[in-house]
Amino acid sequence: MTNRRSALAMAVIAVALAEALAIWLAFLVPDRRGVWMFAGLTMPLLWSGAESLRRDKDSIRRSVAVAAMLIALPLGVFAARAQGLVAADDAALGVRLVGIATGLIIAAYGNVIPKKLVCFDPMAPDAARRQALQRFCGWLFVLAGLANAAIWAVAPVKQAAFWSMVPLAGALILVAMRFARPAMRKQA
Amino acid sequence: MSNVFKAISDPTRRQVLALLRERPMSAGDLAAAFDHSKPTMSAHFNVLREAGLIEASRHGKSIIYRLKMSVLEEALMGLAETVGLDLGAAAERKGETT
Repeated sequence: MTNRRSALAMAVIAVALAEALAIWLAFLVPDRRGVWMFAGLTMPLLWSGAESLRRDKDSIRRSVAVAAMLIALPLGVFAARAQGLVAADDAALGVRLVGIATGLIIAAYGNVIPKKLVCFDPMAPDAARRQALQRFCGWLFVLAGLANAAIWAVAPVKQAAFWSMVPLAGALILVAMRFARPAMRKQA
Repeated sequence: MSNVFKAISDPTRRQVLALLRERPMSAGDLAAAFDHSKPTMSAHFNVLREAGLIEASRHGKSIIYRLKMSVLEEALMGLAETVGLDLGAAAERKGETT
């Protein structure tokens, strides 16, 4: 019950923050009002659509909270720039912050892979292999997510867009190879 | 989170987790790997289960335990092991010098 309430509270706070920023920006930068209104209206519409389609409301609400925070970050930076709180020439700050947040979100999801995706029969003959695979995926995505966030934090934005993908692509390739290994062994 | 710290602070429970890292095991197999009595081991399993680090499922007459640790929890366990080893080494060094 507490988890349910906290998921709902997180989603409501994050969406309200994104909405408030979008409305504020619509007044601050009226010539781009259409963009801000679109950004503001998207979240509640998608949320209500997803809630009506899925039974697992908690996971939807947590995902909505994360997505709304990702939208609120660049909106917040843009609003701060429009108010003169951030240097006007630092146009890449929003992109950098979203990049760092995305890396941290990937690491957070990787963290719970071995805990939440326990979907195999513990008595199955390949239970040990499946467990090892889940742990491997978890560790790999945590490290790749942290590397991604670190690259966005320190590298120049233009280069970070490319180099931040390298650890993620590497992680995906390693996971695919690990998945394919039993089949390759059988063929050999 | 305090439940997790409590669970991984005990060396026996850390060994149970290390065994389960290899593969899911029955309560009997796990208990056989230690010198402790069955009620003591059962208490350890309960602490680990309450902390959400392992999951139990009944298969016929036996209870099968499997690991349910996040990457962060596993890293914390590794840290606890390292700190434990360091403390042990420090205690040994102190014993040599006195």
